[in-house]
Amino acid sequence: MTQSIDGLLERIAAIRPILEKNANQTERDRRVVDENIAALKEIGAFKIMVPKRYGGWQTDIRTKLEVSREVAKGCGSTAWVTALMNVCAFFVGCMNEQAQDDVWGANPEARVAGVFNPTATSRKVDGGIIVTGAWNWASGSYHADWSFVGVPINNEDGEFLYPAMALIPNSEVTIEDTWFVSGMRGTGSNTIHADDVFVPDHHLHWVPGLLNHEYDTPFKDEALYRSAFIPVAALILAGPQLGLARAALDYVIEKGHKRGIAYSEYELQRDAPTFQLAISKAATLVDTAHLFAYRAAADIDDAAKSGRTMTYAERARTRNDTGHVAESAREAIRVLCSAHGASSFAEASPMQRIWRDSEIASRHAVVAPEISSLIYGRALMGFTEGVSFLV
Amino acid sequence: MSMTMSTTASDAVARARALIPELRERAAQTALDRRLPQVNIDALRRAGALKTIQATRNGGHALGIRSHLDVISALGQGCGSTAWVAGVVQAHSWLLSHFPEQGQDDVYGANRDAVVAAVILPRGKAVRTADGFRLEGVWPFGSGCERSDWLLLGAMVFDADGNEIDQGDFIVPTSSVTLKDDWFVSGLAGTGSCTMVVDGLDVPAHRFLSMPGLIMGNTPGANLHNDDWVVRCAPVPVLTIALCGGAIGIAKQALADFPSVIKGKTIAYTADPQDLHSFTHIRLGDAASRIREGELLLYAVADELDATGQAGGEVPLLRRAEMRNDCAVAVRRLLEGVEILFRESGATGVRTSSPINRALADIQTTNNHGLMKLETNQEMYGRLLLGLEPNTPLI
Repeated sequence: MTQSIDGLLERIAAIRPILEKNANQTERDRRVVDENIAALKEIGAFKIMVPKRYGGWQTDIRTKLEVSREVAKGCGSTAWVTALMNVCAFFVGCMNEQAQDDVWGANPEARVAGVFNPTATSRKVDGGIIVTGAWNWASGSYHADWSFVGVPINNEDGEFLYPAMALIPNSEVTIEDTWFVSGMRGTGSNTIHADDVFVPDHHLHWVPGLLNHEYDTPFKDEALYRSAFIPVAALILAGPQLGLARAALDYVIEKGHKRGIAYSEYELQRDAPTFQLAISKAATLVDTAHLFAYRAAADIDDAAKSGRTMTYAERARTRNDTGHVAESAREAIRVLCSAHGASSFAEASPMQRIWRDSEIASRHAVVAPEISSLIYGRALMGFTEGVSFLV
Repeated sequence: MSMTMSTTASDAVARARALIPELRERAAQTALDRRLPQVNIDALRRAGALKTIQATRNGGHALGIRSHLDVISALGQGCGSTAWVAGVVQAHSWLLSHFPEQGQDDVYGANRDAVVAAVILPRGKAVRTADGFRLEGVWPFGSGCERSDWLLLGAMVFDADGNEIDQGDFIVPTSSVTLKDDWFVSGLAGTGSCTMVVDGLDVPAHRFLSMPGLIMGNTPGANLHNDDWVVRCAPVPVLTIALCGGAIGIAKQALADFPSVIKGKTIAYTADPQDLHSFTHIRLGDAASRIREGELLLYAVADELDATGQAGGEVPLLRRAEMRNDCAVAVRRLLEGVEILFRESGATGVRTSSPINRALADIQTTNNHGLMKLETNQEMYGRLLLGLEPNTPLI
């Protein structure tokens, strides 16, 4: 049976009961239950960022957000891991042909997990580098075949030249169990270690090139792999928030027809103006999150399709949009928890998990609105650097 | 009335409250005239409402900052512009206590009811001369300047070679200053906060007060008032809170006016009477909570200022920064409360004759004063909480 991208969102909706059923175990195990990954693989959810040359669907960032959103309705951790492995597929699609062949040539279903921060040392050797490092918060590493990690590149004398991203087969890394957190507990975002691992030159991409959209891929006519690197890397982190907030809204509305408000004259929440107002406010915030997310996706996708490089100001706006998406979704969920009542925080309620997942995910350093809005404010005043190079 | 009789706090507040009806009656016209009517100034003088924190030796009541808030807030219930002018005039009367003795006597010796307007910020330039200073400058926003007898004008001070040596405020007679008629604004419209211009004026040395000296608690005049603990309250918080009292009264009056504004109205295109609708109750509760929060915060600052003044005046830098920040936060809460009332007052509320419309404009203008800017205050406060050097001397 061949399936296409058509109907993928409906197929994700169809497996939502599996994701929901496994949500508690995913949290307990602090890793996504394998059944979820298998189900998502089965319906093609990991193909959206893989080049058509390897049988992938090579879609766009808007589609990527919608996939994260649909998965997040069932399980935030699963959505996060899916979003991160898919964005790493986009990164690999920007690399040279040999690297892409090494990842997907023999196994078009291969998955990649990554960490940007170059918390490693390296030394130059013939044909490549030798890397030793430890990378925190490697979401998806349990279910990936490759790691895509930040490394420093030095000259023969050991002097630092520039940062690069390195592809390393997961058979050469070890996972240290360090992910003990209160939200997004199931992402298994552990520390990965590499010890004296040889990385050939063609498994490296220099970071300044990535930041300037100068990618090694020879397939320059593939629009997806012309997308702006940091805007993509930032925005996709907000995708799960869309599904978390929407799921919370649907749940609270549904229960509002059955639940009352304790110590009040309202037999049903739906009849109380406070509840009606809260629902209205939350829905507006959920819509706001969607509008900003999809606007930012359109900015990235349109520039990629037309082969245009996004300006600094546009990229800064994408970072700000990302923060605003997370902030709006998070606020919607907070409002909904209050409207739904104390039961939101019962362990048996999906609300408390959604709330914890949203709170944690919105604190990712590239998502958190504070630094992003500072970058945007500066860009609006004409600055084109400063605060962070991740723009 | 005898000027030697001491005035109690309750007297002072009662006399200020008694002015509310007449101030309220003239409030709309005051805004149209863009300046306080002389009759308001006369009424404030008769009621002693400009003297709450003026030193006893200078003919004032020296009552304290809580009483100051009580008086100015009461005036704000009658007229926001009048409360603003009274608030700052009171602050200037307090500041006068720190000037050299001769300077204080120049102002209050012959006229214990003298009104002092000011722009304290050092926008002007003064050059040291053999026996004083040569002052020049342009000072916008001189609230109440037309109704004043004296002005305090802030300036940077230079020596004859052009080196910056100090900064501070100069007492000059209002009659020696050009007042422009340029106060055309939407809120606090009746304060007559016009631009003041000095082309070149000799000012004797005893009419100067150094601002760094004041902030360090080292002023030539303070020791003349050993029985008046209010003189020893921390200067920057006093000068900041003096901008806030009117906003309390404005907001409380808007809250009091709200039921009559919506009485008999239905929510447009529905059959629901607005005053019976739960949305109205919720919004009103929200507005009242914010106004209460602003009021509580300002009185907490006032009480702490009074307590520290009574204890001798020492207040650590961080506490002074907190007090300045609290004032800005409080005004923001009062503004938020009135914004809610304004929105809930519907189309009726936008009429220029609507008391809530004027309340909103007045409180927005209060909120836009440079010292009230929330971000600046939060940054200053946040820096100190992190143990960093302050980014402003004005704490």
